[in-house]
Amino acid sequence: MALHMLVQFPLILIAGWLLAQGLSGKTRARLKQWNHAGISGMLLASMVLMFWMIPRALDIVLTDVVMESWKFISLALAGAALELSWGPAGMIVRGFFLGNVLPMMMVVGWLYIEAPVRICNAYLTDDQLRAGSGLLVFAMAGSVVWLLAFFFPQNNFLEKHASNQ
Amino acid sequence: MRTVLVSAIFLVLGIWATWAITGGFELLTTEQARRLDISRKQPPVPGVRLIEQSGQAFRFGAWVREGNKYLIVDFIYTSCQTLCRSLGTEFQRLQQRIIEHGLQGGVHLLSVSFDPAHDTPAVLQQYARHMRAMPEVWTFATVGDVRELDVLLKTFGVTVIPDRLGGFQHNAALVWVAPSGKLVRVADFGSSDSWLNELKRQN
Repeated sequence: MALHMLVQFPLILIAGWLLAQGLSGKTRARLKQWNHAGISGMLLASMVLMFWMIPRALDIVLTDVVMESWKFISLALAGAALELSWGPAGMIVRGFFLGNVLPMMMVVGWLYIEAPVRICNAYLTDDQLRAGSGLLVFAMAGSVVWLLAFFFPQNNFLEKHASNQ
Repeated sequence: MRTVLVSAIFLVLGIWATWAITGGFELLTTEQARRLDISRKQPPVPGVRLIEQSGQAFRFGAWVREGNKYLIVDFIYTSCQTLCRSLGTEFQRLQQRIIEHGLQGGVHLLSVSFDPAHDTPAVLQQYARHMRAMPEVWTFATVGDVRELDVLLKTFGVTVIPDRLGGFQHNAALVWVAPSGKLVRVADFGSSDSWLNELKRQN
């Protein structure tokens, strides 16, 4: 479960992000018409991430091949959407995205740690605990980076990345 | 304008997907889904071959219908140190209740082991004695054929995963089976009492 949420999910997201970098300028321009200020892309990414934090979704991919495929497709799409949208998105859209995903990660992480029972039937209890702690760490690290980026925009890797394009 | 359109589509898809996975925003976990599923669909007990502690074999489905009693089923393994102990305690308590109410003719308890390799009839017999189980109220059994275990666990919605200490982790709950052989309800610890009282009133 911890490997699933904390290693595999981010890796698929990064794969999607890298794939999107290979898109030609023409395709980007065309996509941009549908993605003003990165709004659609950020919305897609936040919904995909929130969906894959539902405990039942994590259980179901272990037994259902169709859902397993959707996991790869949707997370890769979310990664690609983030790459295409992060640059054009302003503070408000980014804030909307992070303000959705980070608190959700904290709540889910806290739930996994504090729950008296196993929330997922297909994973062990200590695994649930690890996943929960990891989510909390990710969410807190994300919040800190976001705050730093807010106050010191020059230091933000993503900002630089966006301006390089 | 196009952005609004695409965003709206994404939003609808996202809400639809969440609605689907949460059974219409009713549940978040597989365990909740399992319980709702059993009480709604009421699947029949599979006809798998079980072996009870005396070594006698029987077909599960037919056995329930012939017994013509309500059955309360839990899933255990005898070398378990944690969850099965509380299941055992709960069954001891229910056994007591059934005898107090004089419901031996209407309700029966069944503990099924999902570890047939270790839990032979002899081991089950010993475990039953250890739990002070009375054979006329409480039966211990395991599957005759390991390949049939999957069907059984799937019907009852029990997920068993080996932990790294040689044991298992599994979801625990008591499943009520009607005399007709259908699974009717998944009960938590303590919540079977009201049903027993109900049955007593009907008798």
